[in-house]
Amino acid sequence: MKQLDLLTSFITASNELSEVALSDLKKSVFLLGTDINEKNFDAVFIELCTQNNMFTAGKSFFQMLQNQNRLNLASIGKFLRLCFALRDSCSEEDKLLIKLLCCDLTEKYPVLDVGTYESIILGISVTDSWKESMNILQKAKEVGSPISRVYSAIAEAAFSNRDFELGWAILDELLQMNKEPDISVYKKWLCTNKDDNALNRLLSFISTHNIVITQELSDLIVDNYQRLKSSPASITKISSTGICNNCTKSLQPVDVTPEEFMLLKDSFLKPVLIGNDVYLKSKPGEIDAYLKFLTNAGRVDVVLDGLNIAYAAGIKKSSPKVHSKMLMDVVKYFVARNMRVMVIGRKHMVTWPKKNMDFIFKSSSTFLADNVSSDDPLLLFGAMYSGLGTIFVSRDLMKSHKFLIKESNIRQIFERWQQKHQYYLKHVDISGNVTFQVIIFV
Amino acid sequence: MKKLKVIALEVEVLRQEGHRVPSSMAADRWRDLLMLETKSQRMRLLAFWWTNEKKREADKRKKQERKKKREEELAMIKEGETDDGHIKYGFGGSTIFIRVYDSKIDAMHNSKLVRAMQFGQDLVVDCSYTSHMTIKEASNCAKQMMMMFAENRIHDDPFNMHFCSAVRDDNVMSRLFKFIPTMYDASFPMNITPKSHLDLFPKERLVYLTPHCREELRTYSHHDVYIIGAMVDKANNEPLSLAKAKSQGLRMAKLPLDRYLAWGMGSKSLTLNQVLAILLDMKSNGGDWEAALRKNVPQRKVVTKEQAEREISARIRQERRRQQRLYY
Repeated sequence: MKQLDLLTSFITASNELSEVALSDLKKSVFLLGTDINEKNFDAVFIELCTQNNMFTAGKSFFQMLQNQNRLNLASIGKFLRLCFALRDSCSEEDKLLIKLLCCDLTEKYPVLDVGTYESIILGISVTDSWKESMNILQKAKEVGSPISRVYSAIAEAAFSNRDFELGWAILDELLQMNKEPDISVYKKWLCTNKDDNALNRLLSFISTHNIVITQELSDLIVDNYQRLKSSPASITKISSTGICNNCTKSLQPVDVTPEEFMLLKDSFLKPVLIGNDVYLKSKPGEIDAYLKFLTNAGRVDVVLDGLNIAYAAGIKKSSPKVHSKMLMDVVKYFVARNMRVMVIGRKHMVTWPKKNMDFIFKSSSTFLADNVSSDDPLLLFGAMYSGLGTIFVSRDLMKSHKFLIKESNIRQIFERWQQKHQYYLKHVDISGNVTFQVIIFV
Repeated sequence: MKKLKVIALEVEVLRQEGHRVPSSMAADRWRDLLMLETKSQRMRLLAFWWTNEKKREADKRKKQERKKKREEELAMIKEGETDDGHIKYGFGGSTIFIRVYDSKIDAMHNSKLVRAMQFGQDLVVDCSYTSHMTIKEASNCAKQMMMMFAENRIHDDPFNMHFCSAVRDDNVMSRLFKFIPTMYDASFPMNITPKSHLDLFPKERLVYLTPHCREELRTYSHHDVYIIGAMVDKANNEPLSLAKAKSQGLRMAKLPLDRYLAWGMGSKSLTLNQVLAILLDMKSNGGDWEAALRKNVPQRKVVTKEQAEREISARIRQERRRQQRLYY
């Protein structure tokens, strides 16, 4: 790391670059270690210029390389990235150079690696032939998956050249891949488009794609609201019931439409429970038996994750007696509210104290999975099979199962459904009173 | 071919950009890179090779330094000696003992394996998990299998190990072959077969050892054939061996790790050679799990007796406090 420190201090000192000074620098850098060597010196130098915002130093270094005819793919790529990073200070001359470099590369190489294509896109998006970047993006996708910065760059270029539709289309494509754009894109959108609808368009984009709002983004929105509507705006807190602390209006509740729910239900079982090998989480006979059980059980109001509830008392710290009492109390809680209860458990639960278990078996439909099957997917599917509106109780956040749903829209539906239908057990006290965590926005 | 070209270009650019890329790339490395999907995966693999290369360079340098130092020491000793015309007795001089060469010891170990092949207890290593492992995992797995074989060979009463479902050219077996170049020789005492364990042994005798099941292996049986899955699963934690045993309808068991040991830091996963060493000890020490586990589970993972006692008294205090609270 001594090498990097030396190089950084050289670059930030912004000395006049001369060949003699450079060869001296190289000698002393190479003496300090082997990580930076003759082969990668040029690219590392330009990269450090980018990191330290030293545009002129980078440019004159690049010019020197060009004069000596020592350019390689990495140094060109890094230079293009430098130009992109400091795009606001690019002169017309620089832009001409960028265009020339990009043209050269695409003509010279019929095919390139993703990294270099990314650099070309970033570079060319700054210039007036930014539309070329769409073609290069196509080529880049053939050899790999380009980073999200590239999509942001194209969208930004589209916005600043007032081709709004293309910009939003690119952003949609990016979010389809579960990636998020840079905040600079939103900034560009808001400063090129000054009409009333600009902010609304941005907000609806954020809400349709479930984008998590960062502090930076919220500041941006507040600033622009004040500027565009010339009325005051501030950041507020929303209570867990969805009511704003400032204006006491409430947020629209999270909802899943019946159509969305059908889509979720149909596409859940295959990836999550069955996967590549049925035996990993269950076995073929068991799934058939479960489906039969669900049809017989009919519609229920609540599905309980038996072991998860029982083990809320701690697996090692307490006995089956406590475990079964725990579960019984929760079943009682729902039965007392006239709800039809279904319990998913494992076969070894039959050995638990008879008194408590008999109550559970009598007052609910119980399905006991194999001891080595995983019960969470069964639970989720049971709640879905029963229909929209059936709640389920588990302290598990179900992240690993959510991950197995690959389509981003279905995963979103799952998230919303889970948010509205999952109860998290908080604790059960000694007289059997059950407390759940407060559910937000229902 | 196009993909190879793109990857070659990518590697070159990465090297020029100062990323961690090894200086030499043999043909099989390109093959490994071709099998990876994304750029980040390739970068990780390149970085792994780079680190190994650096380690090897450092080792080489240290070795040379040691050699130089040793030579200097020898020269010093030689200078101090006087030639009195007698032969010198001791190491490096003359002795009454015959020198036992490594090859002789090898032959002795191998003869034990041959004996085990005739009379010893059978043990299966199931090599059918290669497709589930990354390249790094596969190479770790091959190394552990090599150590497993070595561990078995030097034991007084070794198992008759069968490497079942082995595909000669796959990622694990080709690497194991690099470690043991004579392993396919007819005279070498190692059973490698593409057949499944179901074809070799009756189902009733087979017991699959898998950490994902609930049953513990309480008593060691000298008549059962235990199956160890040759798998290193660092990234993926799917219960593959459990699924396999379930689908083949075999008995399964896990080692009683929690029953006999207090676990401290680190994971409860053991390497293949550690599992084998535990079984070897169980076979010969009359079924003492605690001794077998204490000896073979790495020290750092186990809590010492004093630590355990301290923890237990803390637990008791905590329990008392908990009982005083109202809810459970």
